[in-house]
Parts: sequence; C-alpha cells; structure tokens
Amino acid sequence: MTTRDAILITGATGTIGRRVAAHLLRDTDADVYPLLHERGARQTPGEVLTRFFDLPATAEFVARLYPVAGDITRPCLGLASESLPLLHRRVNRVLHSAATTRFDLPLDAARSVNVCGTREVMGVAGRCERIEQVGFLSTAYVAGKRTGLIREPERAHDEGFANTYEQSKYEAEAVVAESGLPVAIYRLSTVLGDSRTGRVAHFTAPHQALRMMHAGLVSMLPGDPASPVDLISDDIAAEAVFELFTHHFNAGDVFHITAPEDKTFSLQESVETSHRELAGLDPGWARRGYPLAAIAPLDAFDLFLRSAQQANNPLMHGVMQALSQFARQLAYPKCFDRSTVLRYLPDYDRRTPDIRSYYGKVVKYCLDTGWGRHV
Amino acid sequence: MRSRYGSAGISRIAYRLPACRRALPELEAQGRIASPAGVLDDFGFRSCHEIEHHDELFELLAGAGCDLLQDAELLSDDVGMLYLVFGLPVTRTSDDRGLLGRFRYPAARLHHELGLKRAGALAISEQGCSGLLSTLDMAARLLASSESPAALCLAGDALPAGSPREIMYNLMSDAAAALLVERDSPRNRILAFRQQTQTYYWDTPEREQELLAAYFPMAQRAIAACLTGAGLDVSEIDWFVPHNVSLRSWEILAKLLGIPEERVWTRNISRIGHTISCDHAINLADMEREGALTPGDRLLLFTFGFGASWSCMILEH
Repeated sequence: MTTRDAILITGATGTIGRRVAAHLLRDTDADVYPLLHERGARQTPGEVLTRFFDLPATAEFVARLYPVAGDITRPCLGLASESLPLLHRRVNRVLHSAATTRFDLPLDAARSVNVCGTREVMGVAGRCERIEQVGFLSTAYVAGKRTGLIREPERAHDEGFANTYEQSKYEAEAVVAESGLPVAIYRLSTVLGDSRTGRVAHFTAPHQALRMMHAGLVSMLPGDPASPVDLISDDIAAEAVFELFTHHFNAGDVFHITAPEDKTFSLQESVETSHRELAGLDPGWARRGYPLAAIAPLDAFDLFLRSAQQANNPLMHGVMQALSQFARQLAYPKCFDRSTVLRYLPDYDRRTPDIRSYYGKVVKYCLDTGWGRHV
Repeated sequence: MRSRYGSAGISRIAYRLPACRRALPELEAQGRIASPAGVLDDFGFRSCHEIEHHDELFELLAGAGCDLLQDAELLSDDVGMLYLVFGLPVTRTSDDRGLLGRFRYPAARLHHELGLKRAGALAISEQGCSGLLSTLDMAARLLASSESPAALCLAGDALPAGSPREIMYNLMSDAAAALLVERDSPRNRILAFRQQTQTYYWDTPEREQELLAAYFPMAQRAIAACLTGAGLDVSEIDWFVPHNVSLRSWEILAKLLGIPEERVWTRNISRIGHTISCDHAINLADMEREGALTPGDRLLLFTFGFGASWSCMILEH
C-alpha cells in the first residue's frame, strides 16, 4: 500500500468495520475516511479514535483520520457538498462494511439498507477518480437454504433464504457484481465476540438465543444435531478481512471467512455447551434445572411457532419468532469451502481460535453485561 | 422380556363420565374458555363432560369401581389395597361438624362403599396428571411383596361446578376411572416406568411460560429414558396412548420423536378432552373396546403433571 492510499470505510463503527479501521490506522500508513452518522462525525478525530477504534489519539493517527458524515441509505451517501468532491478526488480504496444485520426486518427495510445502500456506495466509489479496489463485506449465508459444500465463487441459486438478511445481502452481492468496479467480496460467518476477552460489540441473533435460553424459554431449535453451527471470533474475522483487503486484493475474488470444521460447534454441542457454561457461571440458574432445548425437525419447530401464534401467546410466539429468524438456517446444514482464503492466508485455519477456547468468555460477557444493558 | 414388575399389569379398566356434555360454542358463549372456540377446535377439541353437583365425582368413582369389580368377578378379599388418585389437590372446608369434618376421607368412603374388606386405603394427590401412572407403578411394585394378588386404583377429578374449562390451551373434562392391577395380569404387563421431576416449575401460574418451553424437551427426555429402561427403540412401540391434551401438542411431539402420527391414538381428544388423571384409563379401555389392540402390542403411555413431572410407562398388551 502506498503512502497516498486513502480508504473510505462504511460501517466503521460496526463489529468488523471498527476493527478493520483500527488495523488500517495501526498497521498501514493510509489515510482513513470512516463514514459516520451525523452524531459520530461531530466528534473530533481523537474522540473517534478512542471511542470507536480503541486507539490512542496520537498526532499520527489524528493526522490520518478524516471522519465523514454520511448515511448509506441516502443518495450519494448523504455526503455534504464539500465532502463529495474531496472523496472523489482522494479515495482510491473503498471498504463497504455497513449493513443491517437484523434477521427480523421486513424485506423492504432490509433491502433499503443492504441493497440500496450498497448501490449508493458503489455509485460513490465509481466516481472516485483513483479507484483501485472495493471490498464488500457480505455473509456466508447468501447461500440461503442451500445445503452441503458451498464453494466461494458460487453465488446464484434459487433455493430461497432463511431470513431477509440473507436475501438482502445476496441481492447486494449482485449490485456489487454489476457495478463494473474492481471488487472483492468477504463473506463472513456469524461473528460471536472477541476471542481474547469475550467482549461482544453488537448483540445479534445468537446472543439473543442465548439470552432466551437463560430465561428458560427455548423449547426447541430446528436442525440436525450434527449440523455445523459456523461461528467465528470478531478478531480473526477482522484480521482476515484486513489482510486480504490490504495485502492480497484481487478483483473478483470471493472469500469465505468462516470457521474450520473442527473449530466450531455442532448444533448439539452448541446447545450443550451453552447450557453448561450458563450453569457454571450462574448457579442460581443451574438450580432451576431447565432442560436442554430439543433439536427438532423444521416441521415440528414451525408447528410449535404457528401454535404459539394461534394461541395468542405473545411471549412464546415472540421467542419462537426471534429464534426462527436465526435458527431456521440451522435446518439447512452446510459447510463452506475456504480455498481462496487459504490460498492467500495459508495459516488461516491454524490462527483461527477454536470456539471451545473462547465461547465461555462470550457467555460470561453476556451474563455480566445483561446482554449489553449494563455496558 | 423381563420386567422389574414381573407379570404385574393392568388387567381390567372401567370408567365413567358425567352425563352433562358441553360443546365448545356453548362454553364460549358462557365465557368459560379463555381461547376462542375456533382455536381450541383447531387444537383438536370439540366438547367436554362436567359434573353438575359436588357429590357427583364420588358417585362416578364408586360407579367405576363397582363396574370393574363386578366385571372382574373378583372376591373383594383379593384386593389388597385401594389407591385413590386425584390430580387436583383435595381441599377440605370445615363443615358444621367442626374440625372433625376435615377427617372425612374419600378413600375410606369408597373403600366402604365398594365393600372391600382386607384392603388398605390410600389417597395420592399433588402429581397432577402424572398421578395415575405413578400410582400404577407403586401398586405393581408393592404387589410383588404382598400376599394379595390385586390392587384397585381409582382416579378421578372434577373442576368446581361452573368454573372455566380451559387450562393452558386444553379443554378439560371431569371423569372417574377404575383400574385393577394384578400380580399376574393377562394383559397390559408393565415393562417400564420413568418419571422426570422438575420442581422448579412448582409455581405453575408464575412459571407458565417456562413450563410451556420445557414441555417438549422434557417429554422427549422422559420418553427416551423409559424406552431405554424397557430396552426398546421407539420404532418398536405399536401405540402411543396419549393424555388427552391438545392434538396439536401430540402432532408436534410425534414429529419431535420421529413417529407417525397414526400411531398416536387420539380419538378421545375431540370426544372427551383432557380429564387430568383418567385419560390413559379411558383411552386404554376404548382402544380395547374398538379392537385397536392385539396381544403383544407395546403401548407407550405419556403424560405431564403439574408440580412438575413428566411420566412415561410402557405396557405390553
């Protein structure tokens, strides 16, 4: 990377975006232009560094950081008239990581962020005079309801999707592919938390499933007990994105940044380990003797969900509905080929921490913070 | 197959239902069901039976006991123990006979009414719908060390007259049943019994939602434990004899267990509804009467009782 590299990064306060931004500042000499919502952009670069990127507000970092106010859902990212020409002139690399990762949004709402937002980002990138590379953060679950081995170059399918997040990211990949820009796609697995501290930047569906389990409200999860539950840590995911984006960029590449098969859980193990960790950390909870959630065929799960709705039981229906958005994917067992990742990062599998080595830390963080309420 | 119960089993069954029968629309019009009638209909219910006066439950119990003893042509001396099972806790109010009025036991009254001579009398309660299976297990085990060849189990429950008839999406009936447990039973030999007790759920109203969530995984666990105890695979069960909770819950459980729904005998769910402690007795009697059973059939009886316990018994017909 040259000293004049200027990188626009969207989603710079998200789970992966903030870590990649920190890597870019710490480990390269590029100028970094994080796209922040209005309130974030009003902060000084020093505040942005400490608050979002866990970096000290040194003169060197401050000099290379150019927070930009914007919103990917608005035309031209809602950039101020003075920002847009500046970006068009300076930026030569774009990393688009902004997205809604909620699984329960109506499709239109998911599309407005993930598809339309991506279109706006590609539009701005396309007008950057020096554009050399665009990175797009996607999800491994654009594979939707496909089962079996999913290869990195594959995208198009007609198997359907388990939730609107998957579908909107699938459609966003099409927008990226059709942009004509030099794009690489980083398809991430479900990111769980920091493997060293257990810290969770954003509590998403798997954390909420754990929370419902803690409340004794998870009756069943759909799927096969042996199905893999692909979970990775924030740190390894961000590290891989950073390295592939900065050191191994090749337009057209698609990467599965997912867990090696022997370093993640099966569904059965996931349920049992969650139960065991909660019991170990919360003896009062253990005394209640909640049973392990049953692992059910999808039709049993769906019938229970429909019954809770029919019975007008809002709590149980809400729980089942929330689980459904996340857990429905478990009924479509798949594993992800990582050949392209391993071609550039041959030690990726070795470096990826085993879920068993840090899952307990994540569970503890969830309990200690009340799933983010006491942070 | 060797069983810890030897050849003990259920040799005879009789039951009685109150004459008064009410359909869902009538109950809905009376404001006695919490869910819309259409939802309960979707869950497999049509009508229920209810007593019309307080002493009717006793009459039903005595009547069922009488029917059974006459049918069995037993000498009353052959019955070594009378067990009386209530799923609902028995509450006694003092009457004009003061404190002594609290010591008027239904088990003793039924024992007297049925003319049992040598039998002891014991009442069992606070196991909800699990009470009958627990009592059958206890009776069969005690027979092994008893000189008497048989024990009589009476079970019955009635909701207070005029009260709501729905409990947690189930339509409730009043009923009474009598079962004869014999040491050398010609049918319904008990192969195994397992009960999973989780008393955290003792406060049913407070923990209703958690209980709903626990129902299926605990059911699966209790059934698996009982099958293991009997040395059987689920595919070796000929009939699943349900407690008559919603048909929907059995559809879900059947999918969870990987069994065909046709092997769950559900006819009485719509006809009678859920009777708390008598469902298995009524279903077994009707299955036999309708010719559904053949000798050697393996029958799996499952129920859940507030308190909370998940119970499973396997019989060989």
